[in-house]
Amino acid sequence: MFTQQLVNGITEGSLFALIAISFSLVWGLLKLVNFAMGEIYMFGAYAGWIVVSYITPNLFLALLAGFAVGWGLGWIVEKVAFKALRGVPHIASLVCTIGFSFLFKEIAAAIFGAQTKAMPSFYSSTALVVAGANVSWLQIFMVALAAAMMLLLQLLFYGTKIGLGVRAVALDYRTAGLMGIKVDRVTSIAFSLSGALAAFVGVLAAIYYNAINPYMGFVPGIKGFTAAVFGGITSIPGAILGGYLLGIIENMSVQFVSSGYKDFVSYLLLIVFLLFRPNGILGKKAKL
Amino acid sequence: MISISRKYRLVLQLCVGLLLIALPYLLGNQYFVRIATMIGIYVVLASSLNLIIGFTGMYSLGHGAFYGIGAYASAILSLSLHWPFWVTMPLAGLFTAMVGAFLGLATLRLRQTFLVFGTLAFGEIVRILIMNWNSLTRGPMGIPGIPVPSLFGFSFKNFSNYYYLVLVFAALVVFLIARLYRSRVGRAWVAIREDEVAASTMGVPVFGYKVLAFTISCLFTGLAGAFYGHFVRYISADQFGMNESFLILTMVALGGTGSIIGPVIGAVILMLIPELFRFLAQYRSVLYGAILILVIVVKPEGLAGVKGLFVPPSGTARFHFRKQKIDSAAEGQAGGGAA
Amino acid sequence: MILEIRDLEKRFGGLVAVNKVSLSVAEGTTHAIIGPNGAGKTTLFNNISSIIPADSGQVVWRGERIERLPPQKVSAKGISRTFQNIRLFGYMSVFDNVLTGTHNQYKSFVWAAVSHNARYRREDKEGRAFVMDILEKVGLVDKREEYARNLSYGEQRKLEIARALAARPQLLLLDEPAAGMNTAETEEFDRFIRELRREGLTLLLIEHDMKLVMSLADKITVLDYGSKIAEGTAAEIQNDERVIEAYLGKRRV
Repeated sequence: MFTQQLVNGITEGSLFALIAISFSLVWGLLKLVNFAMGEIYMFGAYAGWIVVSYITPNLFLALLAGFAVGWGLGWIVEKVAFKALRGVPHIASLVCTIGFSFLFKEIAAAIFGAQTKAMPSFYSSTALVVAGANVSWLQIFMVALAAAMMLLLQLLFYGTKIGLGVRAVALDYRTAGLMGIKVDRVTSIAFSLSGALAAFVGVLAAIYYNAINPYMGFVPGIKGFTAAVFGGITSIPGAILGGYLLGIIENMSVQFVSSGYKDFVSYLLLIVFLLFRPNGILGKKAKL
Repeated sequence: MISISRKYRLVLQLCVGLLLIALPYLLGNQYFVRIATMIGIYVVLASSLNLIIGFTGMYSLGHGAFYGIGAYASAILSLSLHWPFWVTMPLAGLFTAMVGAFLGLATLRLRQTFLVFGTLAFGEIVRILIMNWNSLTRGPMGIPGIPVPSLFGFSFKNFSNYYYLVLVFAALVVFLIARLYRSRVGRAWVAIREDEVAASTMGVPVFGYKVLAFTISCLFTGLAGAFYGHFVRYISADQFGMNESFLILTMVALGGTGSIIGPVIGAVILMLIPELFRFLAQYRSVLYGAILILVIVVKPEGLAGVKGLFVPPSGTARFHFRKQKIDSAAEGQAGGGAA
Repeated sequence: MILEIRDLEKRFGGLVAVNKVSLSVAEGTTHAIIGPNGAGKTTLFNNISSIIPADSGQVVWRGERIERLPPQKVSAKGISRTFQNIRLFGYMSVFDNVLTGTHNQYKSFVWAAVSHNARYRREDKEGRAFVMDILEKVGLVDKREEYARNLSYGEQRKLEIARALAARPQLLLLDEPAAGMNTAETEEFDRFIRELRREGLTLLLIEHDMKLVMSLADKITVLDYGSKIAEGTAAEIQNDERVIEAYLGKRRV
């Protein structure tokens, strides 16, 4: 039982970690939070669902479709909630993305219906049994994919010109602008990327839970943010650590409290960390 | 805002007052009276949230939960102890205010963005508690059969009667908020919204006044919850979730932050839209989302707001990437540097 | 001495903004603080008004230490201030800006505000009359219904002083009050300050306009790189080697 929860925790943790990276990416650049992240995740899941149920049952195409849709939605949110509102207090952008969050949710409900739809499963057979815990191929695949994604992001940030631009803007947008970096472009790309990442996770989550509905994004969105705060929202390694820790803690807690309180633990963690350790476990000194 | 001369304003107020009193007779249909009553409750909710957002410049996404706390507190008290509405309703308000004060004391030092998430997490915690605390709240089954209030044998069971009850309540709340707004307390709140540092050097204890605003707002919100519960007579956790917080927020944003009449207008419009355009009723939530985005981008001060809350404060740089904090080194250096 | 500062120090990371500064302000005098950009003058003001508490040292107000009090308590003691980068309540009327300055003098709280009881009515009437007096003094009566943010720069400077005066201070800290004023406005301001001084107000003033400083100040303290390098009357300061060096010496050549 214990190992099983650990395995599940690590699997869910890799999902949280990727969403947390999305939040960290935007926070690092703009000191902003995209509240609609969970809904972009949800649309990603629907994109994946459309691909596998109507076009071709190919997991990679589904992930690609999710990524593309997320990129597009991230781009739209950036244009409206951030670019158009530049220069007004941050909170305006946040409230605007709250509006987007509801808009996306209800648009999805209007298009696809509010009822839960089944998502076909992939690689669900048991791959190995570790200390009494069943580990499915999907779980291995997800953890590996998440790790690969993190590695890819690392390469992107530290090995490409775009990545250099992102880091420069995150450090000091003004100087970066003076040095000839197209701040708007870099911001837009990073924002779209964060949306793409969230939607990508959405496809994975849809396959893992075998179900999608318009309201599936809200809780993972908050949990991704919690994971980001947990690890330290200013650092991407912190986001990863926070994601895995949150996944494990949450699944472990099911042993001690009833499953109805599973989300409770995350929300409590969020409040406790905001109050007492706003810089997270790994975060550099940041003023909250 | 359009300025109307004093005389005409009085005439206008009288007309609106008469209209509100005559409304149940004009509407006739009980269904419409029911909607009018709900509008009254939302006027209170939006005005209370405006106290936080519009006056003091803080944020709360937990007001749906405070609304629920008030409704549950009054319902549980009146069902388990058989106390009359006139006792349980104020107690529910006070209890909600107490919870609000504690939450405020804990979270109001957080920066706006994090305050939003802190109050949101609190709201969800409350919802989960209500869902799972079966012995107290009957969990997902909700609480049916909440008694209808009566006064000296006069029952408020009839929708029209309850409408008048809510009308008095809403008018009183708006009146009290207006008086607070125009007093020393209200000026201190607005000063905090405009510039916390300047407010503190003018003698305003910023944190205390923030907690005060939060507490009073929660008091009214809890009272509104009690009025709601005894009106619909059945409450369940899903009525007080994030969607409710969002709806109230949209009312405040649409009507206009920081004015007395703004949230009233916002509440009326948002409650009427799905009724006036029945074909839209199915997509009302889509509409709310779109309205919120539109208002912020196109008309940040709302329909009747004093100030666009989202307008950059005067004398601040265009970019807010590194918002200055009182105790941050950046400010000290910038200040010292220019001295 | 109305205000004494003893060995005040404030660091921002490696930068020493205020370095063991001591100075004392005599009651009823006008005391100016001058120094090149970055000398730590505004930080010193922020330390005194507790907006940014000092790391070490003392601020003594009439024999009582106040460096650990929060800003609103410092204000209640009788120290009021203006800001170099004007910090008015932009979306508040001119009148209400000044009225907010009276916050400490009244006690009306929630109950008084909603019941409009006798105390509230008395305080409200008194406060409003007082605010009208101040607005008349600074010449902003006609603008009292305007939003503060809609005033011209010079009017905003006046309004900030009016708001500070509404707190009935005994000591007024003015941070570059004449910045951006033209010659005529500066002269008008000079007269205004003299009037305040005649009424017995003690002034601590940061200013770059040397003509104004030399004309107004009874005593001048010169800061450079956070340290006090000279102190004395206008004549003494004008002939001080170190002051001339700080302003004209190595830095600018």
